Amino acid sequence: MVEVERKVALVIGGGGGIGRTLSQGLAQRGIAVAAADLSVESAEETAAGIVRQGGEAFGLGVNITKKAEVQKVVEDVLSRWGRIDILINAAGILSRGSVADLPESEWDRVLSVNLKGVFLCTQAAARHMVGRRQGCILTLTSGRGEAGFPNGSHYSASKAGVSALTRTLAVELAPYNIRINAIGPGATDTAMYRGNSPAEVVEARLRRHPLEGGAGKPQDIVGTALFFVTEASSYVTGQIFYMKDPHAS
Amino acid sequence: MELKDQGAIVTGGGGGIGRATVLRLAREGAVIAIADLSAENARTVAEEVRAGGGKAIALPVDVTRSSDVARMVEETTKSLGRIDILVNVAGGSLQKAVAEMSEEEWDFIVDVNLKGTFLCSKAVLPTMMGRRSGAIVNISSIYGFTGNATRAHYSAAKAGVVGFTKALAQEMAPYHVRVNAVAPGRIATPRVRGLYTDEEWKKRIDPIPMKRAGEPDEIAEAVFFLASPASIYITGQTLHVNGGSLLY
Repeated sequence: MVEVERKVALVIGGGGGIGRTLSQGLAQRGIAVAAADLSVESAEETAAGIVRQGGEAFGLGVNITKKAEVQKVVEDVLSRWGRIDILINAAGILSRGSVADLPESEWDRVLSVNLKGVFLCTQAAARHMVGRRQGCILTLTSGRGEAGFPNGSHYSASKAGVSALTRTLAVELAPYNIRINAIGPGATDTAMYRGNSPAEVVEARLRRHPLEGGAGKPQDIVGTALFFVTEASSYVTGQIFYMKDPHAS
Repeated sequence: MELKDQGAIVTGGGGGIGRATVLRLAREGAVIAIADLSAENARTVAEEVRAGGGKAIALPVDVTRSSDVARMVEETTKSLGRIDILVNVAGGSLQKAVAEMSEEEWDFIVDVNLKGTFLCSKAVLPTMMGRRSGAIVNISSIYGFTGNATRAHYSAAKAGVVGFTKALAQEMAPYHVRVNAVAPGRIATPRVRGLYTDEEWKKRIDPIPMKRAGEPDEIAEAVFFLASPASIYITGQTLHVNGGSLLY
């Protein structure tokens, strides 16, 4: 097996939203990107876009709640490129429902993607990284995991879980020279955001400047993600870094 | 060169984290006013910048004196033309138990770490607000979060820096001036390392998950991130650079 010379990133949820934009941002930095998504078509579309721009990428399909599928994705990347330097956990789902009415199945669905999925992907990638004594993991979390929000008990719990997972694994993996951090981007103009808020709320947030309570664009997150997955943050691990104050209205 | 021709003031720029910050920002094309209590240290770092092909001026400044701070802003504006970035690194600590601490000692440490940050920030606001752009980065400390026996004044001041950062960020958001902080953990600056024997140092490194101290350059990278367009919509936040301390 020949290792590619450039760094390799596996981006989970790379088929759309923030994950796709981050995939493109990594590729522009010369990093080879394996974009994995529940929709293999969307992942391949991300990869094709990167390749058209002169980058190196391929797409994979994965249901991150299934351990065997996650394992296979990691193996596929390794058999193709021989290494994974960076894992970005950008897959996540959001829904709303009052706790009184929230079906157990909905609780399970959100927790299994947002928390167990992150665990499985991190576990599979970390096994490889531990062997190489090198790696960098970044998970997208949410200020909602810290501040909470009405009708989002399942989402908030899942994201708080991501924070706890991140802090714990930072300590556990530090001896293996693996850093793991999480960023909470705040309201960002993606299909997930638009699909879960009333249109007039979304429009109002999009009209406001991001520094004045407005929603940001996926592109605004790239610089921060790059900071956390490159040498620039070589002494940073276990950070839950919110890009907007979770407690601000 | 992400900061080409941007004007930056780095207080405490004459040594340690300040010096590393100056050199990092200069590498990105920023022109820099190095303010330091020690005129000689400021000059030495300014020469380093110039030797690397950059532009820098050295200013002797006591950040706790508003007249010094006003002169710093005046001379920077005259020499560099504009102030886009302020990094408040000037600070320091002395070890003293609260029971033994004089009021003067309290005032001295709180003034240099917290009041200095207030005075320098305030002094650059008019130009930043007027141009509706700018970035301020304050240096807090892990001790502002954990506290530290014999450093109550320093811990309080550095926690104060975080509160000040959040409040000023809210005041400045309408002007699109960003204000953030970096909270270093144990950093192997020559001054700090010199305080301890090898054995004492090892005892302090052991509990850090990454099993090493940070380098001044690693703080400078975090400062650069928060001063640069990479963090364009981030304000009021504190970035911990501590090798995984504070986690358990």
